[in-house]
Amino acid sequence: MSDSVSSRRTFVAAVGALGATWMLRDVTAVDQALAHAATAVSQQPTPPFATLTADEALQLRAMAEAIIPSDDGPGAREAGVIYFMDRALGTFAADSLPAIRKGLADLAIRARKLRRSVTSFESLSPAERNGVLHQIEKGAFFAQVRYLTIVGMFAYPSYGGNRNQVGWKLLGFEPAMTHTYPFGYYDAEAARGR
Amino acid sequence: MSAQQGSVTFPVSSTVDFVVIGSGAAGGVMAKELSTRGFSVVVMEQGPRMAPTQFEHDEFKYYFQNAIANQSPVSWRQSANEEAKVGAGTLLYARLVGGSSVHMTANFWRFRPIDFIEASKLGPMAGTALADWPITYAELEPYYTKVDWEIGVSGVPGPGDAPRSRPYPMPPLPVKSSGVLFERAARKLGWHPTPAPLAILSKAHNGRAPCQNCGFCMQFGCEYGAKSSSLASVIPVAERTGKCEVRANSYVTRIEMDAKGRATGVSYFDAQKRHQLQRARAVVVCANGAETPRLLLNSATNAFPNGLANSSGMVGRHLMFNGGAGVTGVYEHPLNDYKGAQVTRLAMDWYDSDPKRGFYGGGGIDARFDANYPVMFALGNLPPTVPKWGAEFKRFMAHAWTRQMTTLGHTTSLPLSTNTITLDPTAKDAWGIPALRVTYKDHADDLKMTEFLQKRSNELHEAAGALQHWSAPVKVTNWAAHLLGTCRMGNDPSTSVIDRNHRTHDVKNLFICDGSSFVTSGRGQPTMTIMALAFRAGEKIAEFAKRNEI
Repeated sequence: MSDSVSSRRTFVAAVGALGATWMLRDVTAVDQALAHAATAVSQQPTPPFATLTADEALQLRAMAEAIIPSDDGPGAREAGVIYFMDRALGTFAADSLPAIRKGLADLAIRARKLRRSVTSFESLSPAERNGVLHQIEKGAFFAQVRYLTIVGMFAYPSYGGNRNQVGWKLLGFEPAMTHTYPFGYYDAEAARGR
Repeated sequence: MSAQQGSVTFPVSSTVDFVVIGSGAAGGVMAKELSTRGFSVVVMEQGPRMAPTQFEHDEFKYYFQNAIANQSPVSWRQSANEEAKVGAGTLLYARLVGGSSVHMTANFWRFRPIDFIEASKLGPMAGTALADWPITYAELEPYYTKVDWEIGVSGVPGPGDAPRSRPYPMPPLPVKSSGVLFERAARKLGWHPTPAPLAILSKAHNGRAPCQNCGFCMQFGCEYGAKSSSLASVIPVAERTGKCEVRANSYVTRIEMDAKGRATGVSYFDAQKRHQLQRARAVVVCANGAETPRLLLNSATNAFPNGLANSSGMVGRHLMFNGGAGVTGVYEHPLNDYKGAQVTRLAMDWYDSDPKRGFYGGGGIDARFDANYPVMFALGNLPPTVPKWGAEFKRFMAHAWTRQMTTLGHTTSLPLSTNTITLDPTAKDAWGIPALRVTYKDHADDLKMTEFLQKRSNELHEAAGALQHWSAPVKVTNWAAHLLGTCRMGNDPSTSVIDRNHRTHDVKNLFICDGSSFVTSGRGQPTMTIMALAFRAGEKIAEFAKRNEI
């Protein structure tokens, strides 16, 4: 144990709960995903999904938008998180695809239970979607989609999400190769002699 | 590959003076010390050679895909009567030329004199293997100074620091906002904050460029060569001698022995997974505190049925990690603490074990950005009061990410004979070699010391005016990056694996130097001491070789 203990420890626990095995996957698969995503992102108009069906993409995107909404500024939708998910589930996270599909089927059942007239999670109102997600937020499926949403929002744009760096802009992260002092409020204050 | 390469390659059929296994903090220094004294050296490195220009700021790749870190299976359990499970814990170390010194955070604390003589000062501690080192701080001091100057360490002497024979070669890096908040609050609390010593250049040194404050040190490689990894510092010096070949993608699976009980060289897989044999007059193992005992155990022969150099039964025992627990706080104004090196201020007010606390242990606290890069923060370190998704989660991320800092306590780990590296009976790595099995449960005092410093961290954030602060409860350790103690040094061949000069008690021409050599854990940052040991061991081993005593 050493540096970054608290975060790493929590993270290891979180990954364990997901049953995710990505950490031990071959890095070359990530490189393939990167290349794949870079090609897809550069194509206009938006290409069809490579792994997900159009309907699966709609449902997953609706989930991602509930996890990071676009209420007061760009969220998962503007970041193109769904395109990251599509690439990830076709490459280094392919093992997760069956569980994701099973989770989506369950989601549709829950949506219909809530409102008989709807055919999918995505056709619920935002408030209704949140209600359904609260039902499943402790489960592995939700954790996996949340994981994909967060990585798609905040990882390198080259993976297919975080388009126009909207995830980084949300946080205030400047991805520069060099930075100059002062970095923040308190070191600036100290430099002024306060 | 565009990476810089040395000028010499030795034919696999040749016999070189030394094979050094591992190119990290110890192996890199060892290669430099032996080759600059005229010996021919082949350094075996499991991982690839990467040029600094190939390193990236890709959090997902480096933290979640282990781009340069160990990907082989490790099984884990808390005690010997449990079945170890792969994935129940994690050992973090880098696999590339330069080893973990490439991805280290670069906190470079010297040990203090007490670390070497704690057992005799405190008296024996029942149920533990707490022991004095066979060397003292005074004997190691000249080699700490070599690390300062040859590797490149920035800093300024702090209160209570061990005596030094020469000043730091360069001043500490400028203070960050986390350091300012830490220093102000620490003074209020009556602590003694001091600039952090780092193996990161604050100005040009030995032809290398200073830190550019990119902010991607911990678990990343430095694009500028400003972090003083063995790759950036000593390996180029070794290669310029024309006597040293660093053989990348070469995974040593066995140390070969002859009928007379001498090491003859090493068997390894090359990049194409073909078996190869490299002969040498002597073998130096610098593979880290997990891989070194694993290699010795995997090198068992009829003459050494329990593993090589293991007549004492001590190979793999006394595994120590250093305890640690962080507390993260959010402040009114942006710190942007992701910029620059991780740590700029720390306090060592709890270094010595204090009977008044009611338990053994010592340590220090630093202020840092920690691993709270965007994905890690969102996935792994939210305060318990904040929802994990939705509008409120998003607002928290937007507000808190630039305004957070973490204080991290670093502590002792007691050496226990029940905490071990062994071979997993069933799990194997991608080369078919038995996997590492960790058996580890912290001594109760280690957990108490960690909790003690976590309380001090809470006080720090309160005194610094944090809007909120939070932490995860201290638990039995299930991951580690500091891999220590598993081939401990000692004068008694029945209770130690190597002697005071790093020679194995059992095999005359087999030496070990890395974190496994440690007798005690220190207070938290081992790499400085690993490198100092390697400078000293390299000098000793070269003397033996010159006198034909290997």
